[in-house]
Amino acid sequence: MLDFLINLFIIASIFAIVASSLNLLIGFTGVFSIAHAIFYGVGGYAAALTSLHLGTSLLLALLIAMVASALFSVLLALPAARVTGEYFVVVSLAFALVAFTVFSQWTPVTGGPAGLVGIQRVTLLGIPLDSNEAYLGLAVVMLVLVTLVLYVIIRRTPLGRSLQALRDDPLAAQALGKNPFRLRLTAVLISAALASTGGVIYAGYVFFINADSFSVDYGVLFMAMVILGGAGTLSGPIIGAFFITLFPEALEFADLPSELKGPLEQIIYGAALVILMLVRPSGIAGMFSGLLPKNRRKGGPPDAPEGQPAAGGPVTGAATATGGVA
Amino acid sequence: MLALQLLINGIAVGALYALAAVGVALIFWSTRVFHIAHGATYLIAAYTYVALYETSMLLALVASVLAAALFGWGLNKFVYRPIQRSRESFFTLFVASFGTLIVVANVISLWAGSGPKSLPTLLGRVHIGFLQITWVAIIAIVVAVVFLLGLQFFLEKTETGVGLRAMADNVELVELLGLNRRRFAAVAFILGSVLVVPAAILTTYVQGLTPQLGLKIATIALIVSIAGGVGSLAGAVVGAILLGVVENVSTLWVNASWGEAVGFTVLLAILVFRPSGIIPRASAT
Repeated sequence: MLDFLINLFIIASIFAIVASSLNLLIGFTGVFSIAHAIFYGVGGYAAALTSLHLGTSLLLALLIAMVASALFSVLLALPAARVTGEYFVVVSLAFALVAFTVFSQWTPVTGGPAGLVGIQRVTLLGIPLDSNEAYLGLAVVMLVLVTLVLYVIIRRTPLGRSLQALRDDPLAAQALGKNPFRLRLTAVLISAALASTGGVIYAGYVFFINADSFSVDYGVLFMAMVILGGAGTLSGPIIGAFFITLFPEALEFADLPSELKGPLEQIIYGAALVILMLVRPSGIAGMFSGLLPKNRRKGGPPDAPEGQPAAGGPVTGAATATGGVA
Repeated sequence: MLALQLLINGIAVGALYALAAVGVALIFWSTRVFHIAHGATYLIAAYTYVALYETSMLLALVASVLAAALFGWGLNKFVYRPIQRSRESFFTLFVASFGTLIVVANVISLWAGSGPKSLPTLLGRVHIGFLQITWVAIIAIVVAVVFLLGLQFFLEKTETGVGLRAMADNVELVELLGLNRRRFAAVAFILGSVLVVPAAILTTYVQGLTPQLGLKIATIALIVSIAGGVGSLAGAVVGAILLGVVENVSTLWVNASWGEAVGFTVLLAILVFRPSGIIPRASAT
């Protein structure tokens, strides 16, 4: 029973790391990506390859994973410069499908559909993290570190303020001399690098990875964690990740056949998404505080920026897609 | 010769993509709903047909059309519209749409199983010189052409059609003119949902059916209609054919399992270098 709980909390912490880093994009930059399972995956593969070829050092794996993931994310960030809003959602979806094909078919590097086996338990400064308890500690520490980094970036740096300004009012931010392309690029790079650390922890925990752990379904799951927990709050994605990971385990005790359980879990969180959007789009965390900025909604800023139709739901998307290049 | 064969296969696949994409494009441009649950409509249409075709193909077809239309109409009325009334954020709508797709795909896999379903081969194939073309491919191309021309006629020549196009250009103006925006939205959803039925049935004949196909088809429809051109149905068609052709012809040089990825990469590149799409609409700036 204890092992079962430790396992659950390790997985939940890993998911919380990825969801929190995704929240930097969805919640704080207004870039709606469902491709984050890919950067989580890059971290996983980087850690696996480090373990297989370069040794068991955790810090080395983290370094390689973060650099690789940040570099890879440039491919996603390039379109982010030109297309925004709903257009970017589609771009990220297509990007995720292409990258998933690379994961599952680039056999010399990723092992193809069979994946990579023989990953060793990581060591931290020469100390092996053998027991599951120690590994849980590592996962939690990693989650705390990622959250801290995000806190500092969002609340304590000019970058964080610029990103939120860009999210709330792109035109005003541009008028103040902010470069939207550079800001979005920076956010995507940081977010991808942070997400990859979740993949490193995951690979070191399960000792075996293949593309199935990084599919589009997981990308959707991470998005759901951010949304259900509450986008734009630091605690939201963590709440969402623990909720989505732990809640289905309640079905464990309902004694259902396993072929029913998978779909039932999915139906529950799919329905939760729909109902939440109908009732309370600010997410679970939003129930306790009004942290989601109200002016992201229509009717927030009293006057629309000049040259932009006032209630231009239909037109703004097209405008940013076609003419939004600085 | 192989290249020509692949080109024809690609056009047939692209014609089916086009039917799925045009529905999404019509809904998106006229109501601004980022309708990824179009994949759910596809699944509902296809599974209805598979469940009934042994009784009667005609009955299955009619049931499939009704199910798709009812689902599209109901989703707009009971999910999208309430959200739009209170807060019109595209992401709220998109998340609700995605949640709907997840629910429908999994209800279907509880009901019909998550394994693949297939239909018996329809009609076989014709030989023209070296080329082999399946009758289903020919039907796909013909059906796509007929439906797309019909849609074009509807949008150009009927009052409702003109209203739908006006919604894509300027919703406020449509309301100012005293036209009923909600009625147009309902028409767009019903029409867009019905357009996916031939794509769903014919694709099932060609490559079978699984609950996972919903997300894939919806993604293809959305990216094709956006890479095709903002506000342009013709662009969506061109994008769809392009994707089908690239997917197939690229297998001359790369393994078939990479075909889809190559197709998506081409469309992504188009979006990066030409964000307004292949055929941008002049008014949509």
